[in-house]
Amino acid sequence: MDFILDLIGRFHPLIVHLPIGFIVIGLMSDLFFRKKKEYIPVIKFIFLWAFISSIFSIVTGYLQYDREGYTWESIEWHLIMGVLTSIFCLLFFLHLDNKFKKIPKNFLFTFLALSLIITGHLGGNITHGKDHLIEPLPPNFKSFFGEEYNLKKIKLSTDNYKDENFYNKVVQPILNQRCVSCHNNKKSNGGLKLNNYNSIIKGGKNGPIIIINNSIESKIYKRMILPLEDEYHMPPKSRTQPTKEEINLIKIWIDNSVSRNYTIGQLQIKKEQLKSFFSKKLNGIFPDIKISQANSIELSRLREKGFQITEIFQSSPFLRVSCINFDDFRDYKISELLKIQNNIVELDLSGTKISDNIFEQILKFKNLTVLKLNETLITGNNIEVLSNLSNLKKIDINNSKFNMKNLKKLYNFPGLIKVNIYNSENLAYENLNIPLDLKNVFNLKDFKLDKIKSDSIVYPFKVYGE
Amino acid sequence: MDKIKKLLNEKNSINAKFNSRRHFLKDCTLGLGGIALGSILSSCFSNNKKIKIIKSHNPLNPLSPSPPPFLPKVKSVIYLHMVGAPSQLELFDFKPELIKLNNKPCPESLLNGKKFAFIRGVPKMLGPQTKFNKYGESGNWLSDNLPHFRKIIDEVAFLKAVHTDQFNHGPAQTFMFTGSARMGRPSLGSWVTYGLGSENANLPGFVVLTSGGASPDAGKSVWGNGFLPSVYQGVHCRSKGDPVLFLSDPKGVNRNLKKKIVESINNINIKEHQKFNDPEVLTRINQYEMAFKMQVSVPDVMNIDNEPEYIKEMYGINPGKESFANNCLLARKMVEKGVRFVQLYDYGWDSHGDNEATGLTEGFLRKCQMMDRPVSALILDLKQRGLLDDTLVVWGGEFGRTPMQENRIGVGNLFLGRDHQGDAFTMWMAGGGIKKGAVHGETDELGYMGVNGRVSVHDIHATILHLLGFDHEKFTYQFQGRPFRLTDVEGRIINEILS
Repeated sequence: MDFILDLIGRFHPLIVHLPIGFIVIGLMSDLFFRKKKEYIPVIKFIFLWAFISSIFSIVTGYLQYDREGYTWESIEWHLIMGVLTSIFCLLFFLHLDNKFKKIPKNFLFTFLALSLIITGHLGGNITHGKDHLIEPLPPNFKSFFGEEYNLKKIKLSTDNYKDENFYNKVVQPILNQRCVSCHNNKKSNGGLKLNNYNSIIKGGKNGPIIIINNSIESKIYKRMILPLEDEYHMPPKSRTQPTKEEINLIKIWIDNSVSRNYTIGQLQIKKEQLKSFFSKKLNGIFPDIKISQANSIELSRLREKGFQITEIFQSSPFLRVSCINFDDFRDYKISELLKIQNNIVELDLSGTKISDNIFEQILKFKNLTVLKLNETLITGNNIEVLSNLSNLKKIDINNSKFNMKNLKKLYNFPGLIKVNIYNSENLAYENLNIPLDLKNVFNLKDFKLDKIKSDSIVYPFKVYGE
Repeated sequence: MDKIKKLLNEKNSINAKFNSRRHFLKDCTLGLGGIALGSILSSCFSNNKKIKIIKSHNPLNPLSPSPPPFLPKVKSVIYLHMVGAPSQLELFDFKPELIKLNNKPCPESLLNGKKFAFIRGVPKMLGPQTKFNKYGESGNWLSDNLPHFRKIIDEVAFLKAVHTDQFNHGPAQTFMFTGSARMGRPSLGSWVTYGLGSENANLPGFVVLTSGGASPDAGKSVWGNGFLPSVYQGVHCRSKGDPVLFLSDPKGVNRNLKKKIVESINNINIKEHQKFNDPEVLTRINQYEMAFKMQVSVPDVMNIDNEPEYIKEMYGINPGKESFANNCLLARKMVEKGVRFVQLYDYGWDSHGDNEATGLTEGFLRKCQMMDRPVSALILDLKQRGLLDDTLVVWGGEFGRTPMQENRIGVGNLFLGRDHQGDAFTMWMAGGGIKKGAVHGETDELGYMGVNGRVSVHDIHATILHLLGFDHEKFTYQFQGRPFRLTDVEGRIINEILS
């Protein structure tokens, strides 16, 4: 007949709502009809039934605790508060019945309301889990409620990353981002917590997960490199996976004594392995500053005139301006662009009718990074003025009249990384004494493919295309 | 029986009276209303706002350039496709183990569960039909079939374990260029011009050049626009004779008259567009304008005669003929002039060994000779002009070839050849954003299967789109009620070859 007790126990979640309802309606009637004596018998009746149903709740609840394997710790306060609630119901009833007046009614009212709320909340924690109400909150609210893990990735700076602590700034952030949502103080799948150093070393319920200096045998690493389809692969297939570099960084950490003290520099970790820890340069070689968008009416006016203007990428205020469809572009027309002068980072004047006088005008585009002057008549006589453009990084002067004597004017430009000069007038590469550290900047190569023997082999048959 | 029939007929006709169209409409007013409401509501509250429609700066010109969502590494693409699938085992994938197995019967384990286009029964293994050496600072393997390539080997990044799931030319090409082996999807170049538009207003944004005497087996669908507006389809230019057919004016029509004709047709079409808002009308307007401009611009850009002599020699061009070398030179000229996507197809790489032209020790060598110099020249030429930093060059076939010798229908072929094989083949990329001299992927000892670093056709598409500034998962086009992607539901960016 044991099963009947089991069954009765299972009615607990249903029956508990009876006293809740009785108590709430009882308290409300008491509050609203305090002055009306004629209602007292009704309110008494309500509290009597609240008490009776609460006794049923306690009995069914106890049966459930006894027979379904709940630990005492998990239900302790729920039970105590439940019994208290029941007692308060009885006292309230007796108070109304004029048999018990030692405690003022207002006190009873408050205690009963509080104990009801607390009991209900603790009961909810048992069935729905402790983080039931915290889980849907945004991360910063979560941390307010004591949820420890911080999902934000720590960003390293390119200047001093070598001095940063490897464990604190790299390893733990990787674990925080990829593992800790299931392995933390509140939710520790497999008994494993990965949210702090000691817990990581301690391991899970199946023993340690790290064997010092032996990454291949360490479970934490082993299970990350299993094929994605493998059921033991971690993190589970459905979660975001760590990158190859991140897994490799964990390996490096294990193989270097699982230390908390090493800095990134001491472990000789290369910059590219930490790629995801540096903030991405969204603008690439273009200036890393914020400026306001160009006026869109002005832009459409310029487009109408024949300039081709596109943002370097969507939502960027920086613009690429090209005169590819503007054959009749001459020096004086550049003044049209002055209204968007700070937004222009790339200017392509290839194939236009400009002269050396243009440089004075270009000087006004202070964020200019790429300048293309292919197939023009410029000789570069005045090009030194551009050295004031601190952002200028690339210049193309292919197929122009550029005079190689003017090349040395480019040597002291502050930020050049590439100058393409192909097939210009007065080529004499050999006589150019380009400083050694600038050799890679100047692309003056004139490639040839030598005639080799196999070129002249004539085959005695025909293939497709002959 | 007759009576029963009569009775049934009577019943049916009475029944019909209660089920006339009138009744249908009357009874279904709510139902019909509901259906209509459904479609109205769905267009009001659907997630359409999330789907970004690419806005060009000029609503009347779908080809006007628009920026990609992220900073691009390259602005244009030159895709060199060797139609027929060249043998990776005689070009880039050196397999010394295969030399030992030459002429030995193929082990059962390699044939189990495999389907081949032509191989039947148990074929013999075929060792590499050329010598390999390491070249360049990167020390990457390269066969003697490509002597000029040595000069550019440090510029390219190899993908040695590309795989496809198609082993016939047509579907494999369709897959390689549209992301699906079935017809109807837009080609890679169409996606790119749809997303980025075209820089040069006088030239098409997507140009296709073919050589080798034939077009790809898959037909024009490999540069088709699929469900995208047809303005984004590739423009096929001929490298011999008139570059674009029927582009020149007939006798007695001068350019001013032509201009007036085009203008008045377009005015009518613009009105038509305002009325119906059909993107195909826009396409028509733009094609008229483009054709008019191309009458001047195309003969200029398609003319390789005015290139200096040493450039012509470098590429090894064949003036007046259709050739891969001419096309490579044209590709450079077009990229220089702001064409977004140049697609080259060179026919004749299907080395089965069923005749002399397809034998690995005969016709294949000639095809290599015809490809080696122009490709190397193209890379060097782009480099010396600084264009290689802004351009992506992709080289590949639609699949690879088997390490077994082909035995067509169980009988040996006259010449040495290999059958189709999609599980592992080599492709390479060079240009902006590519890690120079990198090798990603490795095949097994026989070059039969990728053992690590396998990449799929979708991965290649994802990588190309990434370099152009797109997130391949967000770059979509709304069609038949759902957003479509080039990479469908797959594709991973091959970070290993990116710098």
